[in-house]
Amino acid sequence: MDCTELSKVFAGERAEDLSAEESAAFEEHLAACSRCLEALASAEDALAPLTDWEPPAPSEADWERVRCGLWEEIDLRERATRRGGRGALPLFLAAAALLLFSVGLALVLSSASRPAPRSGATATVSGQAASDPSLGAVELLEVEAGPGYRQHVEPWPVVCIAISERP
Amino acid sequence: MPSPPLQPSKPDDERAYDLALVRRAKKGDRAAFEEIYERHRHKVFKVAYGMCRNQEDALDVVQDTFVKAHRSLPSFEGRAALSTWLCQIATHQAIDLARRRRVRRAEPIEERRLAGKDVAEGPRGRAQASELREALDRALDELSEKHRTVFVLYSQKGMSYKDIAKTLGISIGTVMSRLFYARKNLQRMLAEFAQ
Repeated sequence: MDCTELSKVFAGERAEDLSAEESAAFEEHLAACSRCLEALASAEDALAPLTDWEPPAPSEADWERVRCGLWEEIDLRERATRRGGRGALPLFLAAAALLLFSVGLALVLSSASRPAPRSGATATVSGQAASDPSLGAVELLEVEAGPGYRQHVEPWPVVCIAISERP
Repeated sequence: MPSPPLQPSKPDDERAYDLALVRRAKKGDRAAFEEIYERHRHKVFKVAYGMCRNQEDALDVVQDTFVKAHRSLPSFEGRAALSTWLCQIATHQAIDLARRRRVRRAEPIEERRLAGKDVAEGPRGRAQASELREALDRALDELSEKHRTVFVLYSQKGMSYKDIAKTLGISIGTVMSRLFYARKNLQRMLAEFAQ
């Protein structure tokens, strides 16, 4: 780029953006050309009165609304951050519960599919839901673990509740 | 930490004062951040309004800007002036808002004249200056978004060509071409208003 092209820019005759190559050449030329630096200073002088514009002033009530909204949002974010920090432990517990569930499910399924014990006892999953009044309204699966024994398990999460002697 | 001294008067003092406020705000001093808001809200609003062209959106941008600034304070190292940093955030917030809204149209001129009534009140000389500023404000509506954005950022005075280029991700040459193109068009439009 040369002085003529830069003077077009300063005169506002350049409507399009400069390409990467033009930009590099522009800066290189401007840094070394005192004439163009003077032209730039003149262009800035002509621009100065225009930069004095002011937007319509918001009312004090508007500013107060912004201020309140600002602090509300900051407080909300800070509370959320604190909750996030405390939430690490429950997340860990949830992971542990999931692991327990998986182990429990594997045990139930393996005991259900295991061949009958040599003693001749049978192991079956009844698949019927039973309700134990002592445990409230928790629905339990009844698992026949062998002769004289049955096992109650909760379908979700699967937690071994009790092993009781068959009446 | 002791509070910053009384209000500064020189630009260097201004910067040091802002930095002291930032240091306090980083440590959770709400009063310090409140003061940052009080000191810079008008500048941020000017950028926001210049870009959004309506007061409601501009105030939303101001709020979002200070929320983001509060969150990002730890990353502010003081290389740029605080007002420049805030104006950069405001620019991005305004661009984001414009993208999201596409477009809440600019308020009609008459509506904005009423909104600017407070500014025009007072002695006659001030009113005339205010009329010119209003005419300029209206002329800004006629500029394309990219030209207006550069002009508005340049109007902040504290922002260098380099700051503007960095904020908008364009070259310094393009900043100048957009800026002086905007000037030429504003001058033409103001001449039409004057007739």
